[in-house]
Amino acid sequence: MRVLMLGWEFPPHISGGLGTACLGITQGLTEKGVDLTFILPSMKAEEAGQSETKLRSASGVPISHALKKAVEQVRHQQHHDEFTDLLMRPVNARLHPYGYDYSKSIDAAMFNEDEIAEISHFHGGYKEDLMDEVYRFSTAAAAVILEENAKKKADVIHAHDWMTYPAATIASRLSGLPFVAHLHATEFDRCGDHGWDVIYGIERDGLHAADHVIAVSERTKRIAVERYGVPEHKVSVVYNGAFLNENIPTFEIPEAIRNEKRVLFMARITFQKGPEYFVEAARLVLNEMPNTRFIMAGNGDLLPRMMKRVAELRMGSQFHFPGFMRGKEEVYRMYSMADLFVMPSVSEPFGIAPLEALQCGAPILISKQSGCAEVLPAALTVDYWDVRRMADRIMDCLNYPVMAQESLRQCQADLQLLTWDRAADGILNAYSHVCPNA
Amino acid sequence: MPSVCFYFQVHQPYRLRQYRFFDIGVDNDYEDVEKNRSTMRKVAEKCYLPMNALLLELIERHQGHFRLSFSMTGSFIDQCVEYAPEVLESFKALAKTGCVEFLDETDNHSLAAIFNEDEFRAQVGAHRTRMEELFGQKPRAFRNTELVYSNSIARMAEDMGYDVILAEGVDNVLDWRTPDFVYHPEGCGNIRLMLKNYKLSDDIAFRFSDHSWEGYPLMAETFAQWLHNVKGNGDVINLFMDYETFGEHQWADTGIFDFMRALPGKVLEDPEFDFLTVSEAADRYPARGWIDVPYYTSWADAERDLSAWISNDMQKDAFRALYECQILASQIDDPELREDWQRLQCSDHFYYMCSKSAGDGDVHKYFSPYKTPADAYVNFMNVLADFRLRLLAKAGQ
Repeated sequence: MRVLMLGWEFPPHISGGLGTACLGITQGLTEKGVDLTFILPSMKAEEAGQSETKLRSASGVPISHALKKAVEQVRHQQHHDEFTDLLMRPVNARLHPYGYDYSKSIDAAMFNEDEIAEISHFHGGYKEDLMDEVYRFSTAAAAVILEENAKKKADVIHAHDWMTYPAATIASRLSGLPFVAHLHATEFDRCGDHGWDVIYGIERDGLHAADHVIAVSERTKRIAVERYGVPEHKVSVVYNGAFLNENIPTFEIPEAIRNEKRVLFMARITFQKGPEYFVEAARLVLNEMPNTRFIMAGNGDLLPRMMKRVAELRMGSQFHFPGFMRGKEEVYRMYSMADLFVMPSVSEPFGIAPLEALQCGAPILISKQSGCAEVLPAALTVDYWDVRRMADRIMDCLNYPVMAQESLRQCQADLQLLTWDRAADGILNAYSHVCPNA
Repeated sequence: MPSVCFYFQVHQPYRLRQYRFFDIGVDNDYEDVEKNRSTMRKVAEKCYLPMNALLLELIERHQGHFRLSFSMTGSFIDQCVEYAPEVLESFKALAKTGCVEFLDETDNHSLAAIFNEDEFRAQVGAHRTRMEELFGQKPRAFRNTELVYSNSIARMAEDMGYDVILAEGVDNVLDWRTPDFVYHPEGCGNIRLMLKNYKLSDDIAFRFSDHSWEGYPLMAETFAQWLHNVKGNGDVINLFMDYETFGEHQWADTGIFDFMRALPGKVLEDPEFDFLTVSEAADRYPARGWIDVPYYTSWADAERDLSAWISNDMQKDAFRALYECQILASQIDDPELREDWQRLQCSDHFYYMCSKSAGDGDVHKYFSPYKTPADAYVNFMNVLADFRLRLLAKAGQ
């Protein structure tokens, strides 16, 4: 089984959970004997050697005139594909036909390096010109896939999130390989009902072009079906895993703060993560338990607004903003110090952070709108908008540590089943829907 | 016979280092020693040493006719002792001439006057002791931090035995009156009020090197002429400004030193004019009226109020959190904690949190060691959290 995987993040270059998930998935599949090549926009030369996974950068890949032309045709054709549900019968007329068999246009000349039309370079990540990178990546990554496929026949193209869907769509059309779209997050998760329709459009096109879709939770599957119109039978649910073998050092809590209670929020400080509900709940808790310390770690567009609100609520002496945690050591230290980790996400497709918190021994309180709640039945949950209940829950955990520890113990037991090995099984099962070899 | 009254404010804050969340409860070293040292050294070379030398030269040349006043904060003096002892020596040399008066203020440059009277009195008392020890003078005049002033502050100053208090000549307080007379503060007995002539003061402090200003380039003759113009409609012209104006805010290459070297001579060309220290002026001239300031004024920003330190929520929250520690801090007798408590009250910490935009925002930015006001707030609150833990631990013993 040979998989050509497309992704936008891969450790150590991580912005969120996506890169972490990609690492777990590649590790799980590789251990099952899958021959896997992971293609991403850019990476540093030394990284290619370090990783167990075969990594390939789409930067600097030569793109021939012929390939460019073929890609243009596919893009053009996609408009017509809007009518795929229509039964089309070609008639002998001088009108333009609706359908066109573009796979015929592939020939050896496409890979002829004498005819290089362009070479793209990417900086990766999420910068101002993300859309431009996504667009150019679709051609460059297609070139890599066609090249890899020519080297050694592949079985499936597996693409993670919308940034790579256009590339996977084009590569699938040109190579004839099946396309599996992995849905880690949707525009509705990131932005609620006020997302950017361009991204929604790319997601929708990608999910429809895909031969099969993997959603990271039932919640995400429901969004794919209800809001993107993806046929239900085309979607498999595969939960993410935890890195259970991770060696987590123990951190000693400084004596001066050993008697304090600490409540932690650690995520990108954006709409999706619900930071404002955490802030409001903190005020309610501090009214009753004034010595509790709240920590909002991370960075994001809502950070200034959260700081302002904390100041407005006059609780800056008990509410801290340590910024973005650099390196795993700091992340683990933060979790280890927490008496409770709260993830009040407005919409969380899965949520790897609570798993990490559990591994570091922090009890968790997560929103009911979180995918991982589906596999952590013992976790304490609350509706993200219900700040009074959230405050009550936080106080329960702080006042009755035995209760919090019991929940932690059960969650940790459930966590043992959430392996990347199990996730890899689920993914292989999803592949089997579209490629017979799997 | 009008007098010119120069008063220079000398101050350097103790800047905090980047104090992280993980430091709370672990590390009680708050200061950016290197930054404080290098700033002190830099300003000493650019301003304090050359300007003190120039003032000494002027005092000697004019044989007692050039006189002036200083107020310096305890945090400046402490940093002098640590990083630039020769600066302190040169101030002592100025004090010995008998032509220089030293004023009192809050030792730590705090705004305690508006938050806690006990704290305020203690800080002023500490400063008074220092002035006597350092310069052999018992100050008769008082200026509050950043010229923060109100009727009630004047009352406190009078109660503490001062004969003179300084304030900003704020337009809406003066109305039709000029700042160029000695006044009485409303609701007080005999204490005198001296108001800053902000127009003439700022011509030197802010506009001196401004190429777009119509007065540019400002010559000593011209400025002396402007001072002479006051004759007949004023007794005393109060030119109050930061001492760092000379060589630091206005660099040497703007010609500020040459300007100051020439100015006393030009002013004294009119025999009716002379220079006086603050208290001498208050002694010589009668108070011409009562000035009522029921709210706080200051010399900062366009608003001339407290908004530079306490207008946005971050500043209000930080002040709240700080003065919540006051009762505990005042009871604890631990030299390190007491020192930290004094230094945390320094108004500069709150000045850095100011989020005004436009012109005043640029001034705040110029002085701030932080990238943003929010950084200043977060860092200060981390330090304060650690400080409070130490206080509580000490109190528990």
